[in-house]
Amino acid sequence: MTHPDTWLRPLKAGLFCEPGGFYIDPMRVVERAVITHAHADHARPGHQAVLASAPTIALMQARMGKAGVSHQALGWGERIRLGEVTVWLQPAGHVLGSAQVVMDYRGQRVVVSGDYKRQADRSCEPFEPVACDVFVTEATFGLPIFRMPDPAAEIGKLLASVRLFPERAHVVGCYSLGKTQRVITLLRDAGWQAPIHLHGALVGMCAVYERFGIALGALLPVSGDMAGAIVLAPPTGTDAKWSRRLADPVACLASGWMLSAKRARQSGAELPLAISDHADWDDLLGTIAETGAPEVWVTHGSEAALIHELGRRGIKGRALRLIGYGETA
Amino acid sequence: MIALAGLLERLRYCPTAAHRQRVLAECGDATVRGVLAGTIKARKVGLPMLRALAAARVDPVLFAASQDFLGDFVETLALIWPARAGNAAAPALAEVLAEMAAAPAAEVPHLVAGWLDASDAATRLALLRLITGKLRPMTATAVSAGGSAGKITAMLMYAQSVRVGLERDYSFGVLDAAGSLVPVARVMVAERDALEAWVRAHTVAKFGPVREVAPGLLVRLAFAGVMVSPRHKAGLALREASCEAVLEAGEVGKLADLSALLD
Repeated sequence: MTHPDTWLRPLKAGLFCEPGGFYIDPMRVVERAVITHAHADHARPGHQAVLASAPTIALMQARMGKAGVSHQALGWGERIRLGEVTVWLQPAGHVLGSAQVVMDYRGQRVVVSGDYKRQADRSCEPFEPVACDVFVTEATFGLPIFRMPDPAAEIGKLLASVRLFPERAHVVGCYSLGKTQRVITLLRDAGWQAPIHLHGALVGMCAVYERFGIALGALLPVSGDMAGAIVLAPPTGTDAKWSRRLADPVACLASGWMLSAKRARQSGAELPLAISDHADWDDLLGTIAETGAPEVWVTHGSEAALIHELGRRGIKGRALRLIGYGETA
Repeated sequence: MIALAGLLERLRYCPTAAHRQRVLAECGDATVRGVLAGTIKARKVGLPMLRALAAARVDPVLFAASQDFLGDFVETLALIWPARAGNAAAPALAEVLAEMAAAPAAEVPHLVAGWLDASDAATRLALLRLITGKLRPMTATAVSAGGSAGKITAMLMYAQSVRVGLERDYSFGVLDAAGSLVPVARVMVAERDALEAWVRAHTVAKFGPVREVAPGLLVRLAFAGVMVSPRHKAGLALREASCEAVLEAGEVGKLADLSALLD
């Protein structure tokens, strides 16, 4: 048995698995990278060899032209030997293709979960817990004030506003990868059958989702003043130039941070929607319990509070202090 | 309470009085409207009582870390209150007003704790604002925003990483009487590309998470008001400031000076 802190280490370039010779979600260009998901803060361009799930490879290609100088797609649960380490991917439920990286080495198992969530989301593969010795977690919402409401209720607020202000355009700010497709599927599930209008920056990621079988319904470009319509756009706030031609737009923002009144006010949104693609406090703790891991490493977020709570539960916590993650909450 | 909570959430962010009127008009509940107008008041409770409730239910380290993040005790208590399985429905506003008025002082903490248990976070916040007397100032702020609101041209001075999450705050300044730049607003910005490009190319000094940038990038700031702030070198700060636009070379306006804010 070799304790993982001797073979999986936080270096400047990112988390490095020494006997496997690869980094996970490195912040700098490296020889070999295993990528958990295609968000820009985890999937950076320029790596030599990239290993990731097939959707992640496709999303990276759509975002950056290519996933790496060379790339290899790994199926869910498919084992691969990298150096002396057996590696496989398990869905993380964060965005399409998002994976937990499972590493087995000398009788010890580490799971690096990347970003993840536990709420139901039919736009991506659901999180599947893996029993392990060390669970590496994010803590984006690692404070007990963060308990995400039912996303269907949040979407209900949007639809109520569309009914109340039918002469105005509703513009929902959401990140192009993940949040956009989640909002679309939530709208469809709530019965919104009308076309949903997309800012050009969101079109490419939606096309990849559809290619992987996630039906999004009718999607159209923005045209005219969009009164009565729902428009999705990058989270630029109320003020981007292109929105000036819209009919008295209601600026909405879909983000877990909207749980904080201060953040909601600062965002300038008229209708904040607390829809998150990260685990909230209860789901972080529930997931950690499910893995059975006696030791938890925290990559980024509110690590101090989470580690404090883990200590109360007899679980050893460690802050990795990886810099550079957390750009898409 | 649920109707009040939903209405409060919506009113808080309405951009204009006309929009608020539309939202209010949808609410047919006279008690809710009376409470919002300040004509109906609830019996007030003190913060020490609420602090005692918090201490009985929540780990003090976690509470402190959470309040540190949110910056507001009542909001922290509303969000952090641990759910407790039970059959009770969230209380009606009329019930809260009547029972609070009738209860002996010693009973009030139990009453409030029971209501918090039966409510979701938004309803807990509305309840706590109601019984701490903060409801009227909260909606008054929303209602009066506009009097001293305005827009100015300001210059980027600093970018600072925030402790949680990725976002960066940006500090913007205007000219003081001596012609020096002084910060008047610290703002979170959603569309950051132009700002980040400036920060990358023009950082002149770093102090921990704070980067000082060379002057030159002008933005249009919108704000809800101006408040006296002894902590700021300017002696004032913009309330609820947001970055409306990064001004391009062709549309550069005149950098504001402090006197423009003192009008």
